[in-house]
Amino acid sequence: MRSLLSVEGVSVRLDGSVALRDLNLHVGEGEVVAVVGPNGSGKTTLLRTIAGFLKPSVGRVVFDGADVTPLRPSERSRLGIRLVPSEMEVFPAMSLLENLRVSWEGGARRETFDEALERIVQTFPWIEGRLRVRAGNLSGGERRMLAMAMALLSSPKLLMIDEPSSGLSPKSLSAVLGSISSLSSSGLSVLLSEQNVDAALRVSKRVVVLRSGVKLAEYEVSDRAEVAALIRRTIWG
Amino acid sequence: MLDVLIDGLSNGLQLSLIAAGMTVVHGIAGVLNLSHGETVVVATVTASVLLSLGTPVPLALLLALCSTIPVGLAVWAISRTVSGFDERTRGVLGLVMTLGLALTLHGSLVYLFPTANYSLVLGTFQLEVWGFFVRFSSLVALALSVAALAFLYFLLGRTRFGRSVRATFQNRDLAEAMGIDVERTALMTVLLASLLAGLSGLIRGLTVPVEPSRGMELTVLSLVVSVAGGMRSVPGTVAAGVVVGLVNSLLAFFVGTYLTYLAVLLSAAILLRLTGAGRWAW
Amino acid sequence: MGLVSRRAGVVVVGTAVFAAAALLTESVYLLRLYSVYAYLTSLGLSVTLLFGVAGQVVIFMGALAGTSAYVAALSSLHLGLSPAVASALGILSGTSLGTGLVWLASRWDLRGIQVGILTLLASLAFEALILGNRAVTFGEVGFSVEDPLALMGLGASSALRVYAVAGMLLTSALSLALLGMSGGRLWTLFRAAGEDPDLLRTNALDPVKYKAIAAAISSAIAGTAGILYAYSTGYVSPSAYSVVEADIPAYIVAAMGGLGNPVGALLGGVVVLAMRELTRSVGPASVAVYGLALISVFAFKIRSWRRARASS
Repeated sequence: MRSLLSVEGVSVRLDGSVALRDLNLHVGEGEVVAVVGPNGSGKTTLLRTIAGFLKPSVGRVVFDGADVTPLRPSERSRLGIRLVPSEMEVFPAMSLLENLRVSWEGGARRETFDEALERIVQTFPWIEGRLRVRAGNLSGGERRMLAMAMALLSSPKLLMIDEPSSGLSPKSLSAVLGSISSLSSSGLSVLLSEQNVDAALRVSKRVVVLRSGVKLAEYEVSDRAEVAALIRRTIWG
Repeated sequence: MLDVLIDGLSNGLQLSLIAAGMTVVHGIAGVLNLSHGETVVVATVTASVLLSLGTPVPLALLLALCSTIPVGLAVWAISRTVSGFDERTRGVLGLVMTLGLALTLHGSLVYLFPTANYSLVLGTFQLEVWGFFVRFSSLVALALSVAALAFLYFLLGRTRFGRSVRATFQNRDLAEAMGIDVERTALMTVLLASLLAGLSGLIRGLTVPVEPSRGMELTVLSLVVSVAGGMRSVPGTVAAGVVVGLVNSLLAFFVGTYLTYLAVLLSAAILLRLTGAGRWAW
Repeated sequence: MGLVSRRAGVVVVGTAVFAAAALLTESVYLLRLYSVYAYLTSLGLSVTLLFGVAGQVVIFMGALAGTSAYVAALSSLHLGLSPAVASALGILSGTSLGTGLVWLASRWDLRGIQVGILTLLASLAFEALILGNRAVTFGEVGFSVEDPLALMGLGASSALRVYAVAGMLLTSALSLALLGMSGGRLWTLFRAAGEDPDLLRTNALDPVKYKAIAAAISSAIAGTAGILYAYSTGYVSPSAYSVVEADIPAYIVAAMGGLGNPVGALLGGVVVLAMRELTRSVGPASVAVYGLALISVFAFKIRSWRRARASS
């Protein structure tokens, strides 16, 4: 399997303290990898660094064979990296349609907007009837799914989702995790960060355990229950 | 009476054009531009000087609009200089630097061109509308103001550029993550704001002369309208501009300048009260 | 505590030096500069407290100083009150106005620049009221005030000297008083009221109350400065209390000092005054030169801040 994303020896300083220390991580094409860890372990920092919002003091980020470390977030986005943040994930005063359009305009544009929209509506059928609704008026779960739809509309190569389960009802969570699974089977690589270990294990092939900015361990997910227990022991000893 | 309304609406829309520029520059480039009123005057002084030298009107107006671009670039340079700091420091530094720019422009213009009052006379004939007599130039000014605002709405609401501007305005990080070149959008926004300000001044000259010293007053007015309109919102700014313009014209007609001024201040305060708790968003 | 007493020491020494100079110099121009310095720097101290510490964007220091000055001068003129009573009335008016506006801004839940706009509207209204009521206020021309020292029989040049020294001492005393407060509980509460009001609320404290207290102190300073300036120049006119002549320099003074540093503001006052006087001597284009000086000084400051941060 080809490596799509490679984080090599990355350290990041935030507000004077070390948020990530000497981190190594890779995601292959079509893989779903989860980064798990307690609050403050550096998961969001990691995702934001890969997306380009934070500059590592040491190390580099390689994407699709190229060193993207000096690139700004918008440039990385155009290369195929899309981040779905955990909050403020939509443009609140724009309609759903406009949100999707903005996202499509910033993407690879391998298809027309109408084609892309058709494709998205198949994964998220509820969107079709609410295209004119202001994004700020959606519920938390709907916003999260809209954000994912926006990211997918641009045909990214790597989809990063920060805490997909937070603020979602179990039903919405199932829907979100379901779409992630089906997308990875069509070649999309996914990197997600999660506090909820069980949710992470439901979709990922590989789990990276983070605590206090340091990678503690990495596990292939074969037997979920076994790996879950392993992870918990790793984090909490 | 009708021409009072027309002039009021016209003034309000012209003010809205200027204030809208201030709102978007603040939301996107992160600076409250205290030299914005001077941008208006740069355009009018350029037009005045060129017209007095015999330049054909369309060319003079076009060059006058272009003269606002260097000012916009200076404002953009300031926004880049202060961008690395935390929000509060950035705010203060932005204000101080744009103030320095305003003083530089004001001082230079008033010193070099003290008599460059800009005025575009279209003849003094009047039309009869619904039984009232209205100046032709007032109608043209109104039509142009409406057209300019309509253009702005179209630009912001229907074009890709406009979507980038609104996206950056609402959620800068997300816009960046969606592939929008936020830096370039900021530059384009600042230039657009400068052009709008210049355009507003050039339209204004159809009804009243614009003196080179008016810059500071326009800055204060547009600042008040922009904030009273809710700073988060261009429609809000436009509404506030129209209200202030109308109140100003109507009361000046009925009451006289001093109390009018107080009333304008009061209406701005009321608008501030209404938008203060964060109602409008765009 | 070491840093505070070192700063205090610098202030005391500096004040002594400048006060001595005021007593020795024969230059009327220089003595007048002291009064301008005292006025602008005191306003800068007000801004340092209300904006730099309590985080309230306010554009009314000139109007507050002016309100106090006009109330004092007019009540002395039209009602025949003694300078002491008139001054007290003046300071009371200015303080009430400032505190009231900040309180109103809190009640309306205004944030950031919105507070600034509300206070700006008040400043514009103040100017309009002065200019519009010519019969009572003498409009933009202004009028001369009963100088309390003249009443006591002091000659003009001695009076000028006394005002120069008094202004110097007042400004330094205010700076030291604020410096003394800066480590204390009230200061922290002011800062919290501006930056993190919810934190106060969770501790059963009312941020509005502390903003109001900060506003009261700042307004009192501004009012006192306004009255002293009126007496020292022997004149009240609206131009000295306008946004351009008073608020803008006040902010520059505060910003030069580092926003929140009462001793830095003293130095800021010197710089602002120097900039004004030096560019004035240039001639008619002085406003433009002042603007360029402003940009250059702050561009330079930004560069040195950037360099300091890069090396940390």
